Amino acid sequence: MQRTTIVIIIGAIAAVLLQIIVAPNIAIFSAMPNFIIVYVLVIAMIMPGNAVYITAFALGLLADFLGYGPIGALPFILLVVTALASWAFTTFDNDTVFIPLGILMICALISELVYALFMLACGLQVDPVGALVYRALPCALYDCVVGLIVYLLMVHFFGRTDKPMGHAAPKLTFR
Amino acid sequence: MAISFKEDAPAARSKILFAALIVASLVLIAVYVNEGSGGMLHTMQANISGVFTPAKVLSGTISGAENAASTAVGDLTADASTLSGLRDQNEELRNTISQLEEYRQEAQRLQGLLNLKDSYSLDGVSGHVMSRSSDSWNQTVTIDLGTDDGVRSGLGVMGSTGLIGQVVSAGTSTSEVRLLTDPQSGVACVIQSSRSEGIVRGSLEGLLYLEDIDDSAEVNVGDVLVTSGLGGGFSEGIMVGTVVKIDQSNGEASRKIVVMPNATVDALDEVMVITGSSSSDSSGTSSTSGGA
Repeated sequence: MQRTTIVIIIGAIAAVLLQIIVAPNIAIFSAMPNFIIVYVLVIAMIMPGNAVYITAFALGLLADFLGYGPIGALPFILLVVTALASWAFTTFDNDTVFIPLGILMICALISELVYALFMLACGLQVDPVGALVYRALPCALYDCVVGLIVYLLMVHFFGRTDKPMGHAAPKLTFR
Repeated sequence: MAISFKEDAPAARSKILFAALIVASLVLIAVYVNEGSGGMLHTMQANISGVFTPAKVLSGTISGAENAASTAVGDLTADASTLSGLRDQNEELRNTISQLEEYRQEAQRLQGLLNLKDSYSLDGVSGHVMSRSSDSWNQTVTIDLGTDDGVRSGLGVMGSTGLIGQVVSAGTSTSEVRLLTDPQSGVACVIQSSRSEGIVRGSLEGLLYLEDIDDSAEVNVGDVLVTSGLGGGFSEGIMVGTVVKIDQSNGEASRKIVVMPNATVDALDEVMVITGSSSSDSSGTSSTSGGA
């Protein structure tokens, strides 16, 4: 098994354990970070590859089973933002932390907003504005802070692989 | 010389994998939404949390340590005026307890005289809170009681000073309790003084609101709310909370009534799952009725 795959699997296990053990204890007014969203976004940027898609699906499914939301919602969201984050990082990266931070902010916000929509669509009886103000936005902000820390740590310890994901690489043949 | 472009094979496989996983996700969503609460996915969702019990125990231990440290810091930094205030409060509470004991004894004598049954004795099984929910959208706690202890879905759960929530799923040794502050919670209540009925619901901001109460019903700050027993969800007479704020805009008939819960719950706290109510009349005979 490749080193990258092993790192991704170990990181995935750590993300799940952090979500169960640490996240409830660092919640601020019920808003807590989602280590699973953060982890998937970070590895989409620094370790792109098919393993990231599978990890996003598996972790999202596990997170759905641990919660009370619709099964399949988080895998769908993570797959979409993973592809978006990977493309954006490949296109705009300039070796500073601002691009990863910007991508984390946008993708985390999209994740939390779309998940809020799924919850509302599946019967959560709350004001949509309240769902945005009291959950989606604070959680997205928390995800960004945690994501930046995770990104810096992973780049420091594991570096980056520069294989773009989801792009067709044109191959020239001459006849 | 012709030039042709071919997609790199790994990139094509990547796209196929992405599309397949997207389709799988959408299929799961559709199945979950259409299958109903007794379906396979719902059942798996209710039972899978038991697998992570050791992690939840660790989470609860960390939470307990945090609370203890916070309390210790607060105690260490308490000044003389705080201590003096606590002593005065202690004395006042002693006097109140003494008065209440007199009223209780008088009420018991009256009940005996009128041959009334004491219907507020509750049967239950005690346990502890292991951990809180690991996602932001649900206010739930995991307790160390399950079907092996007689716990089942739908039973009410009390803390040391009042109702805290309701069991939503029960495994063999652990259960998930949805707290009153969860937006999906609702408890049928009565105002103790006026006997007006309403429903206390949770919210995203963590407050409790008294809703579905008659617009003409008298509600005052300080009114105590107890469960009404209607709907079969909870036994009647369980303390829920106190009205702390009433917002009513001029010209509007409806009010926004904020309720402070009487009981809160932290990790490692003791809780009781109400399995039924036992009543005993003045002759000493007893009968038991099953809980909701």
